[in-house]
Amino acid sequence: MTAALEIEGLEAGYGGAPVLRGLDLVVKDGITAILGPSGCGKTTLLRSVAGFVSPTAGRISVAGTEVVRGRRSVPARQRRLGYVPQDGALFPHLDVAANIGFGLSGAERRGNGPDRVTAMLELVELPTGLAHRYPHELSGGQQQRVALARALAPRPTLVLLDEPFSSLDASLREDTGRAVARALRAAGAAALLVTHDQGEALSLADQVAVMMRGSFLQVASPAAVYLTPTEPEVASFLGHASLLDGRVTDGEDVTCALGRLPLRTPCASGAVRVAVRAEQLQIRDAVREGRPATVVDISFYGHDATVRVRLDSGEELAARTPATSVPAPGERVRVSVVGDVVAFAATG
Amino acid sequence: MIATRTALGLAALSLGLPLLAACGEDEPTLVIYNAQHEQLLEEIAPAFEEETGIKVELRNGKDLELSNQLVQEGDASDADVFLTENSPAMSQVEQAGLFEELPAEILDVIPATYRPTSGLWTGFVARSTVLVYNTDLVETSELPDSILDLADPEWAGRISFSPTGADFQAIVAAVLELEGEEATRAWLEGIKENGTVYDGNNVVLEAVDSGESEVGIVYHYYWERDRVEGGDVSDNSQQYYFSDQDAGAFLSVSGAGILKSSDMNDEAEEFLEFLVGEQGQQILADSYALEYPLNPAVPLEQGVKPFAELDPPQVNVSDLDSEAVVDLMTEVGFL
Amino acid sequence: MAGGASPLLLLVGLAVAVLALVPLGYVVTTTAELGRQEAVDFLWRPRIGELLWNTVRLLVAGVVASTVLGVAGAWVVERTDVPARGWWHAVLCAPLAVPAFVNGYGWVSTTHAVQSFPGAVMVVTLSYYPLVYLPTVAALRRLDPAVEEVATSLGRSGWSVFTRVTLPAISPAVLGGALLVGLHLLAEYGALQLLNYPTLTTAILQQYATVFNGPEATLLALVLVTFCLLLLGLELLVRGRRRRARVGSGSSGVPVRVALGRYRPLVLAALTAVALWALAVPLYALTRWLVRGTSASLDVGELAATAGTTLWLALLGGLTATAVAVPVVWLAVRHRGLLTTAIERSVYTASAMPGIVIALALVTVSIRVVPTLYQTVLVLLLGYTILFLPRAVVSVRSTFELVPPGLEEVARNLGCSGPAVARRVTLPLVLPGLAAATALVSLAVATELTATLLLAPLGTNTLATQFWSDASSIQYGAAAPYALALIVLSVPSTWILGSLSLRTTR
Repeated sequence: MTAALEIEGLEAGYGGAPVLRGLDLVVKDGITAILGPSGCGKTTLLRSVAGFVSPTAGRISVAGTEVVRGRRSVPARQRRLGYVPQDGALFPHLDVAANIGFGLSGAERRGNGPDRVTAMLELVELPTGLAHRYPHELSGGQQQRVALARALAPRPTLVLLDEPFSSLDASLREDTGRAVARALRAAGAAALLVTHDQGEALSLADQVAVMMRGSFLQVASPAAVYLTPTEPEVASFLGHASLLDGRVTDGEDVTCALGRLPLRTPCASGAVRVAVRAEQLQIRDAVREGRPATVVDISFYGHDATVRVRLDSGEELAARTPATSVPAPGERVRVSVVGDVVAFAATG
Repeated sequence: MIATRTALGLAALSLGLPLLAACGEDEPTLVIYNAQHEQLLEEIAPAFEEETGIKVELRNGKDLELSNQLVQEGDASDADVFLTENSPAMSQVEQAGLFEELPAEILDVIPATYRPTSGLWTGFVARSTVLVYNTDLVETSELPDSILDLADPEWAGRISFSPTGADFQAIVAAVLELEGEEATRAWLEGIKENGTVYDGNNVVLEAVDSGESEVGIVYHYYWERDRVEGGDVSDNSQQYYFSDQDAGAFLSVSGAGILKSSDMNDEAEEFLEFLVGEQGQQILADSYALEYPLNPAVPLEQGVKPFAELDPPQVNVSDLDSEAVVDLMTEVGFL
Repeated sequence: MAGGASPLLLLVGLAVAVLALVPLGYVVTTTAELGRQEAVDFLWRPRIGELLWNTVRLLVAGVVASTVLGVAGAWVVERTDVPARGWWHAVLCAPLAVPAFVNGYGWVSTTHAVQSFPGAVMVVTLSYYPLVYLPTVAALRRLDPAVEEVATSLGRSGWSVFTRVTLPAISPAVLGGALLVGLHLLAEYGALQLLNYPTLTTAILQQYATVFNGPEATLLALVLVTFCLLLLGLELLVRGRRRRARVGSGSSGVPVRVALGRYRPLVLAALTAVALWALAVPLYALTRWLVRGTSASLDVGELAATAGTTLWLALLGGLTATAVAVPVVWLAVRHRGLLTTAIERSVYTASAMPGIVIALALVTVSIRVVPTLYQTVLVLLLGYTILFLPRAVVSVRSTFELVPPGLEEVARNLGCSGPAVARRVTLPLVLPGLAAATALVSLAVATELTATLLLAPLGTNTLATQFWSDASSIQYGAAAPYALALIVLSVPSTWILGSLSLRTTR
């Protein structure tokens, strides 16, 4: 089966400043999230695939058809891609049915057989009664679903979603995200989802590409990028890992300010950076075992709390503790580590 | 109306006071409502000021605009003297009973033909109707004997005039007086069919000169003035004077009168005396106006056809009726 | 009813509303006074038919041509890769700095071929298309490019994206501009008079010159006002059916610009032609007459005196209109209610009143009601105020909306008294906006011709009326310095409007 999207050595830039620095990516099917902080180039990547930005080098194929090779590219309107921009961009002068039917040929819109517009509304789990509403009469989540229905109506193999849930409020974001993922899977379309929200990327995607400064740092399954980051930056961007200096002597364990810790993946001997995730750190009373530390401050979330502590040796760490056992700022505590950790050979 | 009054009153209170104050004048000034060409009065007014020491303020407008304004203003008018280009506007103000009778010293200077029998105003200059023709397009032999002939089909598409101006309306008034209502209506309908309408006599002159139109009905001084100035819009044209007391040879009288509402009657009389006296008339004759002075002692030279050679129809200036003319022209569709 | 506004403020607001309704009231009441048969006899004539036909065909052709030119220009500047975009924007705005009657003078003193229907359409189009161009540029800037991108990704060609998505989205702006062009065409006197193209408006002035403010002029004014109100209603109707609501908050990315490719020379040639036609011809004519005319007869003293009078009137007019707009806006923004909204709406009706109708109304009302005011500067200023009040209200309103009531509440909370709030918070925030409103109205007053011709007290000459007295009697050379002064006076407001249209407000 041909991949929905293949990208090789893609470079792009505006006026000499490179934004994309040689990207490679294969999207076979399912949802691939491009995750990165704002300004990392992820939107430029999406727009290059869509055909709104002309890359300076590289190759892009959509469903086996080459749409970009070097500076030559197929016009956006001939790429047959679905595109869902940030706030949906529904056509304000057309009702829901006309929006969804916009990309269909006249025959498809009127045609015999099951009504495509109704089918699309059902696919994105919206009541068919909305068909003759206007966009401004819909909620934000409904607008996004209609935008997806519009993108899916012409049966594209690949749908591009540009931060589609960022303008929704938190409660709506999760529901809409899951509904969109279900609809994409039901339609059998692959998707490229650009987002800066790691929760969104990890929960919705089948593959996550972590992007920084125009390059991919790691492309892997959500579990892999979270549990076995290949770069310290990936570790600290995903899940707020604290980074400590350490030293690997035998390839199995690492010694650092928190003591001797087992390694999740083998690492060459020498100086390393150790990534310890907040949920791995346990804060206990000063009398138990662990490294002595002082509580700096606390953010209380209800279901849990983040406690920042300073080890007596000077390092600052963030730990997550249950809401029932939150220390007070200034309190003396002991810090210990649960489970194995990841280490990266120190550079420079 | 009460609401309007309130609004205007409020607005006046809020913004008007400093302005109204600014309108006051210290020195008594003779206010002339002037419908004559501004340039003409700009020559004679300074001479009068120098001669008498009386300050003059000109408020310029068009004949009927100013005459209507005077009628509206009635007794409250600021105006001391009214000057027009043509007599119908004078008649209108006269009929409204707004003119002060003029003393004999002023009236006697001007021949009786050029002033109304009532003695309520007087003519001070006159202008002759002419037909300006493009010398490339029209042979002199083709020129009509009477202005009435211009309504004939042979002139279809060849003539032009400015029916919205008081000048032309005075000519129509003369035709009406001489030929009667039926003939005048037929004539107006004919020239409407045949002609191109412009706004302004200079525009007519230019249209004829550039060949857009072959002939145009205007007064003599438009063409003469342009010739003096270098012939921008007269070098391809000549003018033709109708003769034989034809309606087309109509001599239109510019009038001067003193308003009853004036509180400077003496000064106003001084101005009119100056205007019709030899000194004032000589200034007019020498000026760029090129209109005929009506004081017989002062001839117009400067190469214009001599006054004595004109052969105008006999029309009583009091009988030129602007209202009937406007009605007739509205009916025919010029207005 | 009006959310606790003080009675004095309401009274002032009502007075302004009544003032703004004077023209409409005048037309309606004086027409009602006329005998019906008399009115029918006057209106049911071939001459009126001819004027109506002239007016309507000029209106239709002028609006259509201006809209096509304005929208095409805006699209080229905002949505294609045309080189030197900023320069072309300036060029396309620039004709706004040449008042239509000066443009007409430039053309008619160059060739008489424009004294025809196509000529009149051409000249008014070249003068008024920026009224469509400017709001269209602004709307294209505000339009979220994502909407167009989605349509493209759904397989639509550039033309189809434009007609099916872009045009519907910007249509309120385009319609608004087209309406403005229509109202300007109905009110235009100077340019059409010079082009010898009689319309209702030129006929009203001729009636006025012949029989003053007689019933005939009023009847023509009634017909003209009916046209204006119809136009306003038509626009409301069309606009009302459009969905204008923006969906989502949106972020405006950089739009994808259409590559002109081999059409580039063609587009550049078209833009150059517009620039030449709309700017080069009148400016060349002006220069030519200036060189020829000034040596012969430039009266510098008179020019300076006229310029002085004009600036003085302009400043007074600007201040008056702005001062009058403030209570109206304050009521509408801070004391929203049925009455205050009615006050604001009544001010806007004046935007459908041509200058000639306002002037005619003030001549009649002042003579009948307050004869002492007739022929004073005050009436002229009232005329300017009614004429430009809608403009002043719009800019004052946008200024006051910058001061949310929250700010004043905070100041009160910090212990400021009412007047102190006004002095320390509100005034500093709105003063620049009020100054801008004054400037815009002043500049409009400085180049106003039609109402000034009727309302200026005898002996009060403005640059526009002095220009007119020369230009209409074919003294093109003498008119040239005044034309130049009028253009110079129009440049700043053109510049302001041009830069405003480029400001992306979200």
